[in-house]
Amino acid sequence: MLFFDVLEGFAPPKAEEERIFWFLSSRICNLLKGLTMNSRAVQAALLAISFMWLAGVCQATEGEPPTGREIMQWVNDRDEGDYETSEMEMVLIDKSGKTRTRKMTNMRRDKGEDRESLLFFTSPADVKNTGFLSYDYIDADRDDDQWLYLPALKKTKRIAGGDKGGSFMGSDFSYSDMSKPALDRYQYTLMKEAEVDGIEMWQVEAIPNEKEQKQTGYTKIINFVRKDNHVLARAVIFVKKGKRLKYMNVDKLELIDGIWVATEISMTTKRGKKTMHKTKLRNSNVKFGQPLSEGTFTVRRLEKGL
Amino acid sequence: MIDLLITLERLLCAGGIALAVSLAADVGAQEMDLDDILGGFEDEDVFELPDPDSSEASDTEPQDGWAQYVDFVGATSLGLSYNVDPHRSSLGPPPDVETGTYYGNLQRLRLRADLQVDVDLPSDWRLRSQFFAFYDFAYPIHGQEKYTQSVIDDYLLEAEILDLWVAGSVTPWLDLKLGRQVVDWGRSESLRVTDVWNPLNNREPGLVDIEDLRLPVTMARADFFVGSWNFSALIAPEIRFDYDPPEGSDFFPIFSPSELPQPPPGAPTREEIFASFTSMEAAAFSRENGDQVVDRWGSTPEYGFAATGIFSGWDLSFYLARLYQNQTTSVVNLPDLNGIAFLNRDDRVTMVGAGGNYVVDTWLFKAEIAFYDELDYDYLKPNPSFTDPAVDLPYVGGQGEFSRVDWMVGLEYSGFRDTSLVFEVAHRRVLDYEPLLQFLPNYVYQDTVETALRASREFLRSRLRMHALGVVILNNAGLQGAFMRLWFEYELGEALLVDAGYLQYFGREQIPFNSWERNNRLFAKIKFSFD
Repeated sequence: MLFFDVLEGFAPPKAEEERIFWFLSSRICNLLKGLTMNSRAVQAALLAISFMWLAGVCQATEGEPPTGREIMQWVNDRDEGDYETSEMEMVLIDKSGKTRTRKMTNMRRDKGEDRESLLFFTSPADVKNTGFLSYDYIDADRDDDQWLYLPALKKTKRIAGGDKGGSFMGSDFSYSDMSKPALDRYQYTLMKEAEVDGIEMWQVEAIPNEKEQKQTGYTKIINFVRKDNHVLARAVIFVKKGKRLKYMNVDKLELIDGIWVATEISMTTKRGKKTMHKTKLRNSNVKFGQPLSEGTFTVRRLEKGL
Repeated sequence: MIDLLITLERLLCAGGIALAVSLAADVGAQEMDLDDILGGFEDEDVFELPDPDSSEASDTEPQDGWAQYVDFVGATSLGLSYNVDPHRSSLGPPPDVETGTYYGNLQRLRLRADLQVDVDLPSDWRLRSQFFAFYDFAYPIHGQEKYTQSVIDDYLLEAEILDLWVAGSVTPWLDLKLGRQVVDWGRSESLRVTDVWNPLNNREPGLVDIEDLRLPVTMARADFFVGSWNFSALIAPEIRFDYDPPEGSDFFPIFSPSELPQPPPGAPTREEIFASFTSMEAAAFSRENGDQVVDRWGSTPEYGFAATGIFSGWDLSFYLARLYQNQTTSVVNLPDLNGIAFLNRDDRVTMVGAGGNYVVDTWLFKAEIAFYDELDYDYLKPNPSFTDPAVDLPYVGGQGEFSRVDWMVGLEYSGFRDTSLVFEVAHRRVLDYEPLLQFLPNYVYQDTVETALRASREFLRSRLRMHALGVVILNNAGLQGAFMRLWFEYELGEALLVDAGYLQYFGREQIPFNSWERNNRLFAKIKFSFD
């Protein structure tokens, strides 16, 4: 058993430095596992180099506190896994507590910094087999490519990227909430260090620039980033329209194949203290490293269905 | 007086306090301090959810046996429509042929069932079968004898196979799809230029269920994939045509003397000639009587090729098809003035076309262009050697082969929140045009312009969707017709939808809108889907 196999079995340690060490080590271990090298000598050499680098990083983190931008860069750079398949359940809950449920099967892979995803609705029956193919480009100036397959019409339709502030399928999540933010479009400030439910976090204020405000409808976001694994654990989003607040909270975080995955997220829309609507997103059956070829993320596959 | 002022003051204070209390719960984010805002995470959660491991967990559990290879999805619905403007159709059942059928009040009370079954076959192949059946209680309620047999045949009871195919990959670069299917060659949402493969169900224009608007055709389709390109080859042994309104339906056209060409000097007037037509019109426009239509099976197959490239931000397609024209042309047989008959004849045409999309920000631009060749038209032509009304016929048959260029441009805007706007305009121009084509039986003008504007917006977190669709058709004679459809869809519960709306037709001069003008309908449907 190699060192990184052993390491992966450990739960995250408590002490700050240990956490950072554990986190970075686990990331490197994942990287090494991804390499198809047979030579243990080469692996050992890489491990040695990694520890030398880690020592430098640990020293650096003991100095000045990180900036808001640095923290959010860590969030964006966090290993989210690749070649992922999952089942997604979205429960929409209205003011009176009535629920509507949407279920989807999701496939995703990263292509460089860009992301390709294919999603099929599996429930309710009236939208079953509806498919959505998307290429999200990290370049903010490049338009995403999106196609929708409508089973009732038996037709695939290219669609233009809509208003990013629009609701994602009627939920409290907007389209912009579902993708990584373009960091250059925000001004980040580390507000303070905070402890939430016994977990140490950085509290980072994000002010979107004018263009981003226009597209997302957000005027400010207060992010809470876990220090131990750089997961964005919660956020308060200030919505311009109706002076509403949206509360995003990671309700359940799981370590799957060495990757932290938010398997339950809630988003609550409030006006003042009054709750208007809530959405609960559940991810299950999350698998990484699945055999998703380039052909998976094509119109050909979209039309074939699940 | 002082007591009154004190009472007023107290009332104002009480009102102010009540208002303040009510506003406190509804205060905006800007009025709250940061601690209050961050405390929002800790508020009592009134929206508790069921435990995911209990009630719904079984949904995601893998199925055993045959169930893992078979997937069902179906729906039952009850739809109704109501004639806002009572009227009569142009034809009725014998003996009241000329009186027509009364169309008023309830017009549709249709119970419908849909079922789609997918079966996973070895090697990732799939078999799909899709059926529907409906029964319309409106006809027995009104009395079936009040309608022509053609109307009863088409609208009372129907059961049909929609899709029936097997599909899969033969190699990583070759897919086959064999059977009854829908092939989408178009970019347009509301207008047709290059989308030629599936005929349309036009029996109740604007009211047909979206699921059976396009009629599947049996064909063999091979798709070759090379890089970003897909090359398709199709061959269709089943020949299908549009479903048109039958004689006796209130959507069946109303014919008038003005649709005849001007007769030669000395001949009977158009009105007199038309009277001789209408005396036997029930047979005159029938497809039953010696029509020269191709057989559904066994005729020369239709075939086509397409090449489609999909790229970032844009796509492009090229098309070639050799097929039967969906709109049939007619042959005029003129044995004598009192025995005129119209025989339908189907026409094999060639279509060469292209289409594409281009995305910029929240705009989608789309375009299609098509060249149709070998369009055969037969038309009525004034008899140039007419001299004696007792001996000569006023018209003789003319015949010609024409070409037509169709193009469409459209744009969609998605920049407004939860809103989609689509505008499309198409122009069709007949080349080397013969002016007599505008008269009976073709009604073809040199230029036709069609415009469609569609707007949709979601409310109540996608529970309510409002739609508006307006279509206007113009030609060289002016407004051919228009219709406007306003409707909404509301999600009553999981997979339980209700939709309702209003459809208004415009245009009193030209066929076919002259018979539709009073067919304005309120409609509604409740639909439950299951799997």
